[in-house]
Amino acid sequence: MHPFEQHHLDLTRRRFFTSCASGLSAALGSAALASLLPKPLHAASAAPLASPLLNHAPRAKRVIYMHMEGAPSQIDLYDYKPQLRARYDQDLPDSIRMGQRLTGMTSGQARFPIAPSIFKFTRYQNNADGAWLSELLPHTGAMAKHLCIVRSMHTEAINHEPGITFFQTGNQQPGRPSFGAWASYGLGSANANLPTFVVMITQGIGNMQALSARFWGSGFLPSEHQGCKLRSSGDPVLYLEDPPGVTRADRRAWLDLVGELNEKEAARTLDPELRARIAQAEMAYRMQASVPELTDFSDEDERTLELYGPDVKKPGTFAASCLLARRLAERGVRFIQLYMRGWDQHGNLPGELKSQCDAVDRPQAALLEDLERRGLLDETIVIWSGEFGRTCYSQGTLTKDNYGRDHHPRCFSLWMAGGGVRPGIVFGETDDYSYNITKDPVSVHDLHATLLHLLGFDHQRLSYRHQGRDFRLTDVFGEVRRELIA
Amino acid sequence: MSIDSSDSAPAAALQAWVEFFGRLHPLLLHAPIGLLVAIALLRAWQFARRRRADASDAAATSVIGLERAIGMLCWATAFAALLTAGAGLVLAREDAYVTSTTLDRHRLLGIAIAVGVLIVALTHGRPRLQVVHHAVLIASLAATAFGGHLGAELSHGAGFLTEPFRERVRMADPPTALEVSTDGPARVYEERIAPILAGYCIDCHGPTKRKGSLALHGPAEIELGGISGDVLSRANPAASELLRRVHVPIDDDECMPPAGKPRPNAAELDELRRWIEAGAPLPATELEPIAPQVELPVQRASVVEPPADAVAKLRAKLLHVQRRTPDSPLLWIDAAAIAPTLRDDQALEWLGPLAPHIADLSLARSGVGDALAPLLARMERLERLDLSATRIGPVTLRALGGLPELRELVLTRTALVTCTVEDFAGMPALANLRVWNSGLQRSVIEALQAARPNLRIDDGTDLRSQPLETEEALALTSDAPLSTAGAEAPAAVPINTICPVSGAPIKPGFTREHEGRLIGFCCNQCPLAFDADPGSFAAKLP
Repeated sequence: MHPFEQHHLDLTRRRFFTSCASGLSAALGSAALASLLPKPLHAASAAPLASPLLNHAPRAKRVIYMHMEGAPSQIDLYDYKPQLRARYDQDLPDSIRMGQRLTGMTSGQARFPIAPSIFKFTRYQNNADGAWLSELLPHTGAMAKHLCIVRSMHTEAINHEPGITFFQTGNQQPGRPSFGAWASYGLGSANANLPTFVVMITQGIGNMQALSARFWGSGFLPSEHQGCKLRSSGDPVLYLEDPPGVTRADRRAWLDLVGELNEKEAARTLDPELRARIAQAEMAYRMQASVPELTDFSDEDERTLELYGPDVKKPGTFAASCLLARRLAERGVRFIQLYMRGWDQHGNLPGELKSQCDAVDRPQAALLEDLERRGLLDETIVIWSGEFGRTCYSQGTLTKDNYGRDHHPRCFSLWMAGGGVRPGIVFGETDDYSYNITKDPVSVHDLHATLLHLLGFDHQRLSYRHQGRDFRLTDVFGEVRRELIA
Repeated sequence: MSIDSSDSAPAAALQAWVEFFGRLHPLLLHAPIGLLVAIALLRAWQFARRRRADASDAAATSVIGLERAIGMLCWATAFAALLTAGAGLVLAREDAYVTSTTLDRHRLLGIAIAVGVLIVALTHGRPRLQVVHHAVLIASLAATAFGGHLGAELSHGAGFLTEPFRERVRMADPPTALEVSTDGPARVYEERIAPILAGYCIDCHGPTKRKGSLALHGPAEIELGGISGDVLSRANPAASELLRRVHVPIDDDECMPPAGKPRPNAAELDELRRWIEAGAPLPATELEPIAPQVELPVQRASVVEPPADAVAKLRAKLLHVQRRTPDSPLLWIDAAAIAPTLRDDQALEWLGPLAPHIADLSLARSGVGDALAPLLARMERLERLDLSATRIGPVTLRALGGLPELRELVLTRTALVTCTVEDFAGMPALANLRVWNSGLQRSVIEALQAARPNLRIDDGTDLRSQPLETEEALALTSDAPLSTAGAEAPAAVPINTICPVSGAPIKPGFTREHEGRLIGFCCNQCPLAFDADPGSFAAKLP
């Protein structure tokens, strides 16, 4: 049923007059009521086999999205610019910068000295003429034939908060549903014992920026679609065990009673948050049983653990999160988001970048390999990206072994793998300075449209009516980039 | 459960010893039963004496002695029960056992008895816990009776206890003629052969136990054969394994039924022989007899909506059911939410009604095994099957041979050590086979690849890319000419200002080189259209 029809069915004549009688005029009453009810109930409850939101056959069943918070330097990792090595400390030509706005952190700099990457690159075999990757990512490089490396990403934001918000919700201003929430809304759950959208955060080594819970929020979508964050230290989910003296049956009885009361209140007020509350309490009850099995790595064989590296046994590390991501994927969770913090290297980039890469390189490559050999990669989209790129010129003092880089939205690199993404290619080109895109630019909206397409949605049709308007993840933009699809 | 091929020798030896321990279960279990009965008898005797209430010194001494003896017996029982339960848990993991309610209950009761007698031992000699001691003793006795009964049903077949009350059909005379051709094969099989198989075979090769992965309780199961291959030979009926096994001398290891079990009489053996020699006709099984590499005609099940009640039932059991594509009647079913507890009997019951509608099925990480083979063989529209980390064996593989549309088969983390190339016969559409950590022999993988060059076999190796070249030592200089020529966004300016495909103004970044000229476009789609047929746009270029 369309949410709007549900809304109308929920409105009865008696309710209308009741609300009018409470001291408001009839017109005002209905207006007030309308504003009370902006959020219709979840639509996917209709016919037994309805999956009304898919538009075409999906290529992928789920997404593992690794967001590198802080924006990794494309020029030191993926965007190979050997020509720059002969332009050390030269000024960035105005013809390249073309009046680009800069952040307050470097706009006052007297000059913009070119800082070539001091890291060696290696060309790895892929399904085209090879992919150049930095020496900081040897394990990722060894996965090159599975990777679709896009070097021509661009974004609108130049600061982290709006940058991540744009990447996660398709809009720089907060308030819209996150990508994971849209996926949860559209795909529904494939494992009733676990949340549809799970988030895990790893603390970085370098300069870290704040992460707000709204990056995985559900915006105006029903609240049960928001990401469920697993804690990175101690128990991944708190209060999993019932308190002493409370049996599982007690808990069930308590839930049933509270659910009944909430249901009555929901019928009276039509507040969809109550239904979300009921759904979440049920989910919490089921997670009491499903999460311990999920987070217990004892059934992993030694060689698999070794693949992810020595950190895998330390909860909260990127390695542990990657293994957990694979276990979640295996258990049918639709959208798994890993945040790795600490990529914001305004200064001391070489040292900090190396530490960051050491933390992620082996686990992320292991995740790809592990998914592939278990037959899961074909139906799981894996994506690795920051919120923008970093400048080719140095922020602060440039020396031959140290430099920093400022935010750069005009071009940056990301990679995807699996789930119908074209494997083993490098897509898009930037100029010699890794400053402007010279071929095949891909916007964040294009990326969203393409990923939604792989999940079985037409990005122009996956919409939700809110405050009188149909909203989409891609707003009014975005094109499906068929060049990126296998 | 998975067997690792690379370091298999010590692992296999350990595995053998573990299995040996498991098979001691039927021997060990008698100890706790006897001991428990002994304790109960002593307690009853003690109770009867105490009622006579003569508290002489001699009696008191003997009471103390008796109490000590009971204490010793309690500990002996606890030890024996723990060993028995341990062995039972190991034995139940063997592939021969179909995961079922009976097995689950027997396992649960076994653990309960072990815990119970441990409590009996711990509470012995503590006057304040006397009530607990006696109550648990009685409960353990009751549990032993019922648990033992379930165990007997597992090893001797359902209804073992009450069997004497039922009529046992034994054939007196060889029937005069076997009307195979005229009366239809169904009658002969159902009226004469099935009762013989039910009487002598299906206790060990049936719905609750599948020794050697063989089941003989239905035509589909018979067609599938067991771990030693087909039991019926269509080409040479007289050489059928079924016939051979019942005729080898009784002291032979291969003799079936084994020594000590009831054997078919001469009339019944004769009946079996005639049936098999007549080609062993079976009622239609929906199962094509398995022949290597047959080109099966693509027969599609009629495209109808799946039954809503069966879908609702699966959902109520927390299996994921979804249409494969928005309008398709074909289904994707995933048991991820309940995999660790899913059993053969449940899977058979729940998935049965939907078999012709399933296109994508994942039973990964569940407890299902070869008992599902006949069901899987009915899934004519199956395209993707994930049996990762299940207990399946060669019988299941052979059941998949006739599936015309099966494209992808995931067999990772299984124990397919004994599988051969022939087990992969059929499966005409198979394009992707994943066998990482499946125990499959390297020689089998190689032979399969040689036989089917277009099949992509992923065994978890060769997933990595090789480095092709690495930069030399880096030298950072400022030598490059300061001119920005060649460095600026595209060095050349497109020759056009209007997109030749759409007619809209061109945008930077969307370009193609064509015949040495740089052509600009308005969006990312137009260059694709241009690439398809550059000639047709020539007129629109300046």
